[in-house]
Amino acid sequence: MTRLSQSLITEMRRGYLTLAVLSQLSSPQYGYSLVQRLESSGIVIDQSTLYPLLRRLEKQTLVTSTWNTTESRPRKYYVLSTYGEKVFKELKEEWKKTTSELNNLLQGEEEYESH
Amino acid sequence: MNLIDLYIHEVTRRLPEKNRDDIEMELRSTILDMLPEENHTEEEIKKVLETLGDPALLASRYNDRPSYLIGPGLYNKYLSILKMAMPIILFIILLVTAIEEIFIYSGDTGLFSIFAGLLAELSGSAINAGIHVFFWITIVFILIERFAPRKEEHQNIFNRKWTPEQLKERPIIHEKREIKRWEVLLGLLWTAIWASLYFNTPKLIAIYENSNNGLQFAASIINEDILLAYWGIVSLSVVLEIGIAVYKWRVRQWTKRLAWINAFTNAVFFIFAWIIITDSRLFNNSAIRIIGDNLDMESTEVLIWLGVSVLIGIAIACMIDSYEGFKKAYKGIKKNQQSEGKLND
Repeated sequence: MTRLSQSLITEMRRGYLTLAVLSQLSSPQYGYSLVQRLESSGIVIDQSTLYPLLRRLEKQTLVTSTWNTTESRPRKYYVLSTYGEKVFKELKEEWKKTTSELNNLLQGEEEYESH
Repeated sequence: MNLIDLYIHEVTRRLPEKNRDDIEMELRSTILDMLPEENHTEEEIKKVLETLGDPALLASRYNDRPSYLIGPGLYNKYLSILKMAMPIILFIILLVTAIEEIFIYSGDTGLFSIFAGLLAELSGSAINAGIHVFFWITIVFILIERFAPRKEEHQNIFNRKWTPEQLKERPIIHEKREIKRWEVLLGLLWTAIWASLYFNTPKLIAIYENSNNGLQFAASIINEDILLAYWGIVSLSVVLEIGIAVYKWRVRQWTKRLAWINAFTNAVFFIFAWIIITDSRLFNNSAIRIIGDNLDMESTEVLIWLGVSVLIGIAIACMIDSYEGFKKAYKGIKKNQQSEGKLND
């Protein structure tokens, strides 16, 4: 893979990362459990990106956080706020729409190529 | 354990104090989550820290502050304000310095040393002012970048919404016809310098003789009283020059009309110079005599020779300036017509 396509892919990923993270926060998650959930569905996320991202989401009031100190070590849990749920829904709709449009475009291009 | 502490410290020391404790706690529990439950080796710790990456990078991602001084949204505005402010402020500083220098003139030195001193003083304060302007404008923009609220990406407090109507505010000016702002300001500076020289030091245009003590003042060529009696005419020229500078500043390009105005002003200057120089009392008799003795000429011959050569010099300067005006005004007109023709096709 060329370096340019590598950097374009990184740029593309940055766009849908928020959506991926929000999708996993309907139930409370702490940092590392979130990483594992994302990785098990094949989404590789740079950890030095994820933790700051969670904080930004909290600052934007899309998620709320609580410290859980009952376990062996204290963990910070993040969960969608009502506002976050609303935004997540809107992002999801947009994603579905865009992907289907893009799929059509790409399919058309493939058919054109095969002729 | 020690490595983990060091890593966390490397991150948190770069963060604002209020977030530090919380991020430290979260980071610690995350790192421990990533390690096997018990008895982790140093190798395992290193591996975990490696996936977290450079602590400086991690810290910069935690910080919301931009890692640039002036971003793309402000950069163009920054440049244009710098370009606009620089000549104006430089001009004011130079003007003040020049007038100050001329007014504090004590009368001990000749015209050349005045000019040399003036030049040194001017370039000094120009550099000084330039650095100040650059520094302060940059500081202000950095502060705006940091603290001003922005509505959208790449939009900020300066930008109004763009409409096609705005295109009419800035017509295209042909490069060769353009009058740069600094040219106008330089012209004004020149006016200020010669006007303050006129009112303060006409006696300096004088004959100096070589002696043991260097150059010695022998006789003033010009009778100061007679020259200063023409203050009305000189003031009128100053007003004319300021007027034409204001006009140039506004139209920003050479036009046929401006070229005619320019030629007219030059003619007026020449007539004024004619009136002053042909005044028989203007030149100092004793100075004329000294020149005549040195050149083996009669005083009257010297007078004519001096007057005519000065007048011819002024006439040539005025003609060149007028001609330049017309030349610039007609530059690029053909090209413009061509491109307009293309549009109509």
